[in-house]
Amino acid sequence: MMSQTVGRIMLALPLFLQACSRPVSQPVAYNHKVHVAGEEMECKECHARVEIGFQATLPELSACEDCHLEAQGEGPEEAKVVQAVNDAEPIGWERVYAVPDHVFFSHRRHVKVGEIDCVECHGEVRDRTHPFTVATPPISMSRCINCHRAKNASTDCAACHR
Amino acid sequence: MVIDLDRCTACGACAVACAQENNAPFGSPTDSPETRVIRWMEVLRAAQDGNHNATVRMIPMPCQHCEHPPCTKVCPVYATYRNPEGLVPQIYYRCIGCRYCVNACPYTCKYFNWTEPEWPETSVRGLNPDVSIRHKGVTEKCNFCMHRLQRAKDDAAAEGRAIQDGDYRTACQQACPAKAITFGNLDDPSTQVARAAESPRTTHLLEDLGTEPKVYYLREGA
Repeated sequence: MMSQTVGRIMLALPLFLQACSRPVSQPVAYNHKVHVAGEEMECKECHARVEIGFQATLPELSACEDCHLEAQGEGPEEAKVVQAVNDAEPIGWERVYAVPDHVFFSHRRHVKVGEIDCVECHGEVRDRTHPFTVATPPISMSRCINCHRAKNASTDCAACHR
Repeated sequence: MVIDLDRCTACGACAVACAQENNAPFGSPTDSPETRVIRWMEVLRAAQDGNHNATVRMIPMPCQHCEHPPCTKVCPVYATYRNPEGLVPQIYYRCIGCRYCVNACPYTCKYFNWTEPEWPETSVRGLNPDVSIRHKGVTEKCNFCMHRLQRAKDDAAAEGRAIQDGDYRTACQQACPAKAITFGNLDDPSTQVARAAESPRTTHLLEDLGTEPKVYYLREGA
């Protein structure tokens, strides 16, 4: 039984790592820099549930509606957004961040309760001109634990695994 | 946790609520005779023979979350341990399924998954996303609805206040129609549970083992 379990983990590990790092392609070549650095938008304007729920959530179409009912520029990528807004067709953003099902990560706990800036985990998103295709920087338990130790947060297993 | 046996009617609502809350599979007809149906909260029967009037005492049995848990002493991989709050969590992903803890638990509150959990298709939508699915080959047990505790802590912290008595109720406590189950912080003398635990009717199960269970049973003549 023990060897079975260990074997399963060994088998699942490369798959899991691969799943974490397999690049996805986004429907629109979204430019964070234009929005965050240029328009000075806050993360939570598009990732609406970041202070409320477990997931920060991908942008709803309503987040694009305010500015992109009509085209602001000439770009073909923006034209896709304008089209989507006018057709009320949600843009199928692909998730790049996913924790395995035995991990419980709450954005609310970190952002609202812990008052941690998004940059600390997600890096300088404001400088990105290309959309996310892989989790950047990659998520790993050692990263979580190092930060928890540094900030004196709980390192009780049950805080994240239950 | 305090369970008042004088109030308990043995209706089993706690067991049902717990199974639903914590994604317990229903168990198959072949599991039952093999005692492999997993119920973290179980209403145990204890028959007592009297003179021509045998009585059956029903005892709701969650994990006792002992102060000196025998299960944690034998776990070779730190999959179960006593955490700083005094709860005894079980970390499924660390568990290697050796079943030492299942044998060590004097209260038989630990359950081993002999098969992959299965649900009818209609029930899958009712699974609780806050609780992991336990796969074949790991041991599981009641954890006093720890996911609810974390949610209550987050709610309190988001509102900028400390967690209060009553913010957090376990599923069995919430479901009990007789209000036989009280739950809270035993270390804080002002809580309802700490006051109930001081009752002269208090008893523990298998007290002489020295495990110091944190589930207090109340019954007349204890």
